[in-house]
Amino acid sequence: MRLNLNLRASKTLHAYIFLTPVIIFLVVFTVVPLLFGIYISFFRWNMLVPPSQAKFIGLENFRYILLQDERFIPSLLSTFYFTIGDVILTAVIALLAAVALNSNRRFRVFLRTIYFSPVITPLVAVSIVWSYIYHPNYGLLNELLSWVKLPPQQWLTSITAAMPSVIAMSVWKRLGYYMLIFLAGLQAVPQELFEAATVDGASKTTMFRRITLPLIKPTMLFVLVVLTIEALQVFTQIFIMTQGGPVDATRVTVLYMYDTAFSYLRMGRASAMAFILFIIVLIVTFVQVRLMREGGMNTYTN
Amino acid sequence: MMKVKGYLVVIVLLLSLGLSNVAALGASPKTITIMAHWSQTQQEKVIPILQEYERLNPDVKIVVQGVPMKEFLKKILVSRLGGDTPDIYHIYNLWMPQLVENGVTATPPKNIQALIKKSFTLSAVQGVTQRGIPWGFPTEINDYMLVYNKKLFAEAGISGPPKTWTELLADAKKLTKKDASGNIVQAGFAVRPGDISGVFHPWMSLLWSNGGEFLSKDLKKAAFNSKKGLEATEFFADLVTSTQFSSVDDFIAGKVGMIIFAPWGRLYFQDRMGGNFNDVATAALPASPTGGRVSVAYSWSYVVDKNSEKRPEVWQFLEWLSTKMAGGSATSPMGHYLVDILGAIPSLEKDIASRSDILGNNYNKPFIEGLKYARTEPQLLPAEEVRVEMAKQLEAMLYKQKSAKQALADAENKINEILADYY
Repeated sequence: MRLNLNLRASKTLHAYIFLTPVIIFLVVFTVVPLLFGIYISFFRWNMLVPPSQAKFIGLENFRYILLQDERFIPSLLSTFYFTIGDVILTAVIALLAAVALNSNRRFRVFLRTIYFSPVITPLVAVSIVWSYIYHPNYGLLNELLSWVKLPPQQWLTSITAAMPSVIAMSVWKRLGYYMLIFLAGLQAVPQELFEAATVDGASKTTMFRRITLPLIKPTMLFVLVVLTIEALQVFTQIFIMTQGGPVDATRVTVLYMYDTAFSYLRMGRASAMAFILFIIVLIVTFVQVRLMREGGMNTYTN
Repeated sequence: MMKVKGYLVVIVLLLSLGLSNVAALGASPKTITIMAHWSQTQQEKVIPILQEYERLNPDVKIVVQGVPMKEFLKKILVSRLGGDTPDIYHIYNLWMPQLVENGVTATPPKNIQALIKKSFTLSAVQGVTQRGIPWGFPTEINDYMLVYNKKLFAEAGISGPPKTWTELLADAKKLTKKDASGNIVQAGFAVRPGDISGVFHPWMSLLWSNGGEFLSKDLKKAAFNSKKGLEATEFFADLVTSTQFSSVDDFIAGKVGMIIFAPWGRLYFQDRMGGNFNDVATAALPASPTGGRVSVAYSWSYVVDKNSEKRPEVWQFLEWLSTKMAGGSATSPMGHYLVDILGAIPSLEKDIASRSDILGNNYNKPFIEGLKYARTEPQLLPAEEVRVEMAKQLEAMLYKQKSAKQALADAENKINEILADYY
């Protein structure tokens, strides 16, 4: 018994020793900045002086953002616009592509490589290239439109088209990654279930709806949660392609937060925005997990 | 005894090694770091100038840290927070009030202050002065002029650049061409959409030319929402929206008749337009209905970080770079760099006089003459925030999201709120 306890203690100790570098990394680069961000959201601080010289203003930053700031709520709405478009399109197209690839064994490797190639390309480079593709006068897209006798579009310089244009690029960029995750989920579904359903005379649509979808629900939950968290924090492509414009059509919350901190030198206010966004991400993720926690093989067999 | 001797030998060896390291440290050159927004190509071209100083001063080494213009202020903040600051910043003077107010910049020695005051143009000295102290060596100074495409003017049957606002609007309309579907294929006039200065500075030039004011004298209130301000803003809206939003890229492609631009466009356009640059000309800003003609001026300067431990050497280097006529040249090293490499206007009086070969040519002449009637943009603590707010409201107007009247009213409310937070 004593030997068992010693062995267990030793194993635990070893586990902590191996975990220490990761824990230190997490504390230094995530926990401390997070706590510092929350702390500084109660101060007025311009970052040109040490934090010790920041002025305590209580909840003023939160009051201003929620009640007085004319840009914060619209920036949140723009963020939700991006998130809804990006998450739905990426998830649906990635799932359809995965289903298609799952049934097409012949070109699977080749197509998987093609779909995955945008994922390994740096987002900054992709954003710059897509800015050229979208250029109203010299861009590839308008050139293609002219071939089919369609009028040129303003894309990123149009108030209505700018956000859909950024969403389209973002979907293209991340599609391959989520397609692979769906593909892994699909390949884990037992073939016997489909064989039994075929014997019972079920159509392909019925099998997809009654077998595939319920069984890949955990995969879908993972994809939706990760996609949503990423989309709510969208920044790079918008920073490069539109800078939040035209007017404020693509000014998402993280970009507004960035401008508030680094252009207007209001780090306290920007930290308060970050804290509010953090709460929103937390709530959305919690709701998603609650709504989709049922499903998968276990639920099915039960 | 032998053992003690052995220890002594080791100690002496270690000491001599240590001392030699200290001596070597003492002999290593002091490194002065400059943070500047120059591009990679521009940095490469400044190296021979810096090497010349290193040759004259073997105990000094100069290093340039290039930072994109959009990231520059952020880089200052981050480097100060991280405690790893360069010795010199080449800053946009709009940031000067914040940097001075927060003790980022070192006060120049008295003799340097006197040198700056007596050697540079008045508007450049004003650009670096806060609380009566010139905080750094002025470098380039920019004003705005009308830059136009002579070939497109000739094709449209226009004999010369517009001299009044009425002519400007009429010419812009004449120069605008549409295809069968009504899409504009050639614009008469363009601004840089999405670029704060590209919208704010041309509008401000029109506002001031028309006799309007941007802020009250005590900087506590917005003053642009006036009759003069509304006239200028409505004119700006007519000018831009009548010819659709086109960009400077389109000007480079020969698809825009006119833009309002700064002098550094000379080399910028030349590099991008090749032989077509011969079609580009400049002219004074057209006069407003009141007869006024005011250009916005903005400038840059070298300031020294207060944390720099090499301040005497740094000021000595900046004095050489900005004012010394090295190697029998009539132009300072910085003057040479500004005129020949950046295509900008220097602010040292002697440089302006000595480089009349380029600064007096047809392209630059209106810019040099324009400095006489140029006004420096207001330097405020929340300058960037105020500029962005104004530009955003103007952009909303140009995109027909709101009227000129509404844009001015909204900008006034917001800017007053920002100013009240600081003054």
